[in-house]
Amino acid sequence: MDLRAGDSWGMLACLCTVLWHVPAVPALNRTGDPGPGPSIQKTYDLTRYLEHQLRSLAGTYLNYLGPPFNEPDFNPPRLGAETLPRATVNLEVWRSLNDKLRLTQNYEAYSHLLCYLRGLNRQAATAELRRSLAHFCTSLQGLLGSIAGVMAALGYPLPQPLPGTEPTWAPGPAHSDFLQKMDDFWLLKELQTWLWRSAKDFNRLKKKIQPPAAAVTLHLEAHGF
Amino acid sequence: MDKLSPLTPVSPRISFKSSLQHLDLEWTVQNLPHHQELKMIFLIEISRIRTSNIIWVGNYSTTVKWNQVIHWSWKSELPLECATHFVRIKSMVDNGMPPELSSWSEWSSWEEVHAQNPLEPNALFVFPKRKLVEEGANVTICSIFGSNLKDIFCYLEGELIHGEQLDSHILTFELSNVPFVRVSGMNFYCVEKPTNITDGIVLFVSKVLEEPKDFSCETRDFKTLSCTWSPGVDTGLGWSMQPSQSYTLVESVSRERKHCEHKNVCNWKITQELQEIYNFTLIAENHLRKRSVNIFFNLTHRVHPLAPYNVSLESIEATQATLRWKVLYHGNRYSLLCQVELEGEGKVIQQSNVSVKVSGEEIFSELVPDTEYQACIRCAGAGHFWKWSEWNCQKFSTSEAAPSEALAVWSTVREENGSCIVNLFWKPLSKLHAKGKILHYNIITENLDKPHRVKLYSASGLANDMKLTLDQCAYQINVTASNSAGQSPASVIAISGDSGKEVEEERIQRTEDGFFVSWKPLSADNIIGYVVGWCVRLQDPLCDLQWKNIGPNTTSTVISSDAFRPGIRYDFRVYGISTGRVASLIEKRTGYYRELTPSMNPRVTVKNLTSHSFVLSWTDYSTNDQSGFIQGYHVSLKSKNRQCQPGFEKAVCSAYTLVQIILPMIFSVLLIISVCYWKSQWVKEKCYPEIPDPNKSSILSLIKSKENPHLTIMNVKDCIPDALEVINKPESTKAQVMGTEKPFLAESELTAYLYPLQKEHSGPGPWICFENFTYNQSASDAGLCGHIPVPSKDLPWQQGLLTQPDNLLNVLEGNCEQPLREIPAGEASLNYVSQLASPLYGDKDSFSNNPTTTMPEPCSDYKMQMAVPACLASPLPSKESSLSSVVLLDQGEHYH
Repeated sequence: MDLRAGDSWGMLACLCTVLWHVPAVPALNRTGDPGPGPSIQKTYDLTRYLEHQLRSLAGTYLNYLGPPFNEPDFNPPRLGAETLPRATVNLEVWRSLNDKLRLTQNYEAYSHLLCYLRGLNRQAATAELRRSLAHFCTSLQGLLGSIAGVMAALGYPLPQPLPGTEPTWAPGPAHSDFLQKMDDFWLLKELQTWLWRSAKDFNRLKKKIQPPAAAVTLHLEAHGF
Repeated sequence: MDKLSPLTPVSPRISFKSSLQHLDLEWTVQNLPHHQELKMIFLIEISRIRTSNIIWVGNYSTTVKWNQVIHWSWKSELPLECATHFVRIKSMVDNGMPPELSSWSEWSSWEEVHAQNPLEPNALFVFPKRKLVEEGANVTICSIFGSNLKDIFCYLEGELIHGEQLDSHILTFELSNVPFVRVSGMNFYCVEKPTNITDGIVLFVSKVLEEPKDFSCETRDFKTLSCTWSPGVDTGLGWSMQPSQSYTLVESVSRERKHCEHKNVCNWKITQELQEIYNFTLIAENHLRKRSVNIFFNLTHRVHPLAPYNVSLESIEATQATLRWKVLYHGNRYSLLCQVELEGEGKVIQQSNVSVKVSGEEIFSELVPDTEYQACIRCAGAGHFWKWSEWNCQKFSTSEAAPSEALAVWSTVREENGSCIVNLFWKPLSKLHAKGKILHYNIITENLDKPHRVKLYSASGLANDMKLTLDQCAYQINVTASNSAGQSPASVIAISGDSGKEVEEERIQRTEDGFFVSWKPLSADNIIGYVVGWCVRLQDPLCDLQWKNIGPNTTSTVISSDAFRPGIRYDFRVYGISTGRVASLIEKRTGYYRELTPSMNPRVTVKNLTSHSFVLSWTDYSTNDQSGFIQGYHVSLKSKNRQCQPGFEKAVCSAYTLVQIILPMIFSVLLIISVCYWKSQWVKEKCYPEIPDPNKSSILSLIKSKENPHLTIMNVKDCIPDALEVINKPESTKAQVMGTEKPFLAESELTAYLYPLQKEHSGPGPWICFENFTYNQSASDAGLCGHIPVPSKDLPWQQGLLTQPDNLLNVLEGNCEQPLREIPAGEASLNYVSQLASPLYGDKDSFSNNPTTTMPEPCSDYKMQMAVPACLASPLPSKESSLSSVVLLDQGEHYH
């Protein structure tokens, strides 16, 4: 996993994607109800943007934690991070997921991750780091709302949190500072993996939802652009 | 003395504080008498891992009552979680006797302390879990691991470090002098490979708390004391381990304390008005340390007054103003010392100190009218200086006063159509003398013949001259300047119709300081002073007239001005001022700031052209066009392709005359002709003796009569041996040579330099140089000589004539220049004609009108036209000269 800051690929990809689809939106509108296509596209774009934003944040935060957490080959056991939602999944299982389940898993994962992420803010000793974390939390909250919008457009209900399953990952005396740092490390790592997976999810969903006619229109409009 | 029975400690109980690494012991003493206190000594032994491994032994003395629980603590360097500890105690009554005479009780049983539960086989732990130390401290870290784990690697800040094996499952690491690395602490962790079982700790290292610096308190209003300090480094750490240090103010007189909300300032409310003495202690504190500083002061010695208020300027006059202000009242016993400064033009011109309780006043005098000032005031404690207040400044301007000085006035007078035109000039008053804005100038003219005829004129305050047309030139003129407060003393000038005597103008030189102007003194009885006047800009109608007033006893002055420019002639007029204020011209001077080369040549015309002479005429420079005094004109005649060069002869003709060069030319030509004629035979013998004609030889007469009459044979034996060369030149050579010479015969080149002197002088045309002798050298160097081409008369017969010397000139030019300089002109006039005349003069029809046309003059100037350079007179051995001869001869064969 590469959590280094300064990689502008994500931002570039995000901008390219946005530019590519700017002329497509009116084209889709011409056919009447656009359906969930634009929402999925926006969710995908937001995911790529958050990927880029996380690279910068993670670099700063891991440097704040100090070595070995900011070393590229550091790979500690998950320990307390076992409660974090795992993004990695078997490829066949991932392919076999239906749209509802795919979206539900995304929604649940980011709900938990957002909650954990807010816990990081309490550890940050510098005001600048706290600002960066708060900004990212706001963006992640936006992604969560965007996924909820897609699910609503497709007619899927939002998952209800089960009683007793609320994340309770608050620092306490029993939890050592070092393990806390390891949890923070895993939180950022898992978050990055989830964003990567979500991009795949929404891309797959986008291709599936968009009708072929819209694709032709998109092509023509893009050519004109 | 009875020996007391030993009292054995019973039921020792041990607890521990992991964060502090303290072992806390509690025990009681058995068999202690009721209501009796005993002074006892306890001997304590502590073992680690096993009881036989005693790591610490020490005494603890205390007074013990019946049934009392005794507490004692021990701090372990090694985290208690890493090893089992054992403790036992024995006691002895401290009766003042030596220990060997007293008896110890029995040891209590070993009490065991397990700070950590029994380890799982795959467990790995690092301790202490949460440790806060100060920078530079020594820290012991330990790692314990289960029986299944073998290869343990431990890292501090990512760097592998090696520890000491305390037991088979205990590793210890001694870190000494730990540094501050970051607020999130130093990371220490151990990992077992290959299982990747990991545990670690964060060691929080705090910066050392610094003592607050520059601690100081002061009051501005006797209601609040403001205490400030420099806090030093922030010792706060992340993960809520340690917040930034806190500050507390403690006042020991009133015994009050206050927690400060800010890290560098704290306000203390003054509640007891009678309290004058304050003793403050500032305490800085964090989890590890306290630092404090103390100040002790009298409140009246720490007064930093607020800036004065209600500052105003009152009764502002031309030379005086009054400043008034107020200060915050601090009681009848406390007064302030206020410093008042008056600034004018950016400088402090007055300064004074005034003692004030409530309000103050300061009078500024000797001010300059119509001037802007700024009054500033600040205050400090009068009894004990602590700090000045801020300045409070007010600007003000004094009112105007009447101008104090008479104007400096001058005039020029001229009569026109019976009227007298007076141009009146005055210099603006300086700010010091104007004492306000000049609104207008008043001019009063009074006819001297009719004293009651007075006329008043007015000019704007911006004007500095006025033109008056008077009916006659006998007037007295009064000039005054007025501002809002009044008018200046009158300046009187008188004019008269008397034009005065004629004064001759003299030239003056500028010195380093300026123009030095001197004059002969007039009778001091009638003279009240002198005026020297001059114009700066001659092209202006009013010429920017300048003048300088000089006292009656002075007869010279130096006029200097930045307005003087090189190449401009400045005229200076010196006037004597009579007691009747009438000016009379007494001297005229003229001079240049620096003379320059004439910027243009005169317009020259050529008149009266004859075969021997011509007349050059030109007009003189006007005075204004002269960039220096014209001392004369320089005329030179040059060959057309040459430039004037230094060393050539010059004809200097006085200015304003025509140049007459006719007479010397005629005289010279006649003289040469006479000499030539008189000495023709001698010249012929010397220069070109008659060449014997082989056809007329006596030897040939025999052969001619017997054989072919056209056959001519020269017998060498019949001739006196001499230089003889025979050249057999084919016909083709002729054409080639002609082709080579063609460019020299270009008609355009000829017509451009046709000169009217062709009968005498066939060389290049005249070059005429005009020189200002002051700048002779530079002018010549700069090539300023004017080439005056004379209109040509392009007669066909002249072309042939002029072609030949031009050819020769071009051919010989390279060889002749140097001999011309070396050989005196007088020697170079004789032999030339004989050399070239022999073949040329064969065509007498063409050359009869111009016998000297063939004389080349490549280096001639206006006199050389009458002299023949020796280099041309002597035979030239060069190939070029031979070719020239061929051209002239137009022969296939040529004999030398």
